[in-house]
Amino acid sequence: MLQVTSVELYKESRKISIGDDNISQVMKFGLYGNFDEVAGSTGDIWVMNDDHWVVKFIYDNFPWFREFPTSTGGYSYLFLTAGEIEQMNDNLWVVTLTYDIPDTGNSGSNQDAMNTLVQDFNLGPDAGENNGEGWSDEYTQLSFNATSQLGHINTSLKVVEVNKTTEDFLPAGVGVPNIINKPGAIGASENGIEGTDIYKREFTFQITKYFSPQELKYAYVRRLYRLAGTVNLNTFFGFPQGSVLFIGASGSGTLMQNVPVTFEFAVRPNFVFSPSTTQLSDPENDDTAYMYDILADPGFDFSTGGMEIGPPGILSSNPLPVHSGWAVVDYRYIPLPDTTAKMLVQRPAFRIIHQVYEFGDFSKLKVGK
Amino acid sequence: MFSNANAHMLLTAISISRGKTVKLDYGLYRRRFSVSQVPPIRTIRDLEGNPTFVDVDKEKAINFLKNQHQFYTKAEMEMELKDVASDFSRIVQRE
Repeated sequence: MLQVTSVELYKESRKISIGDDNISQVMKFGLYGNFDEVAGSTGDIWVMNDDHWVVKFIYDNFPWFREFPTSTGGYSYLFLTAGEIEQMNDNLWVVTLTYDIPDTGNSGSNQDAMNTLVQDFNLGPDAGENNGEGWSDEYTQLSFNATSQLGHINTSLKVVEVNKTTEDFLPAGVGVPNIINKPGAIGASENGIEGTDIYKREFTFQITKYFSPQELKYAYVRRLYRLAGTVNLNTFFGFPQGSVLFIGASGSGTLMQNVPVTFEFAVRPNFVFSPSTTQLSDPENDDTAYMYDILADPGFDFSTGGMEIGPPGILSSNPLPVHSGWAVVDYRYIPLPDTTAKMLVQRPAFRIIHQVYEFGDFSKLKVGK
Repeated sequence: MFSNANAHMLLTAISISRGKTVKLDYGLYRRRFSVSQVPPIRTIRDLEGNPTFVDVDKEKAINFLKNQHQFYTKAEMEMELKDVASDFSRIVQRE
């Protein structure tokens, strides 16, 4: 049976060329084996097919890419772009291979080189690989932060207890100004609502995607600039529209390597106001039409449907308007005499929901959707 | 320094290789992979018996690099974000 017994790298044969936008490496290998056993093996007819066998051996066993250090301290990848095969005798073939960054007609970056190779040589995963899914060639990195930050609120989620003084200066029959288990103004006085600072949970995540230098044109960077500070117009990585804020992106790199660009996002859940129920979004429900918190806020006229903010479509099947998690809720208070409490109290007369961020099409970020 | 950008290039080069295995120069293989986690399926040797090339399972090589450098495919990233975000979906804002 024919077999290659060894593959020897001829160390003295190695040649390296380094240019401004390309690197190439030439190396020779000796293939040692009993190649003569293949010749003449097809029936009675003598056929010289050991050359085919050697070529197939190279296809099946030689790496099609190599790693090469760059001047910046990193690595670049060289790809097999040319080969020369020469028979020396019945037991030795010499293979000369050239690895370089294929001419892509532009920057010569590795990603462009691979794109060219995939296109020209029909490379890529086989249809049946990875359960038919193939392998993604767009690997990204993800990190996330869950933090708490100070924010100001004027209204509580609900009042849990109100106690009346035991001193006798209150007139007889005085009640309490708040309703237990209902929201209440914090620090209400005749002068307004003082409110309080609280820690609020924040969820942010960063996606790092790798671009070829050619993809990072100024037009793309300008697009990033225009989209920074907008919220998602469409579902974005499973988050419903209006809930993800694109904070910005940053990246830097060199011509010979892919450039990592890190995108930063922050998430706040969308919400609706309800006259009666508080129900937080079900984490198990992946339907974006139902990804919102329901916040009880009685005392307002819900018959008009309130106000809708955001682009058409942000209304879900819920009969009440679903608002962007980044909307700002603003209560307008008016001082009114409380006949029960026998005092002047601030009562929320209007609930105003402000849109403070524009909507942006995040598919143009090219990080996925 | 083998940066994430370098790892991304290597991962992509392996991903677009044809077949269920990937052929690697032995030096690259030892620098970037764990022998125990990505064992060679076949080793080509020189006249003195030193390894020249190795053939490794493509899926194992991809998963090793993904884990080492915490890369996600888009589908994995979406799933990961959903899992994490569900725990933080209770941000109630009222200002």
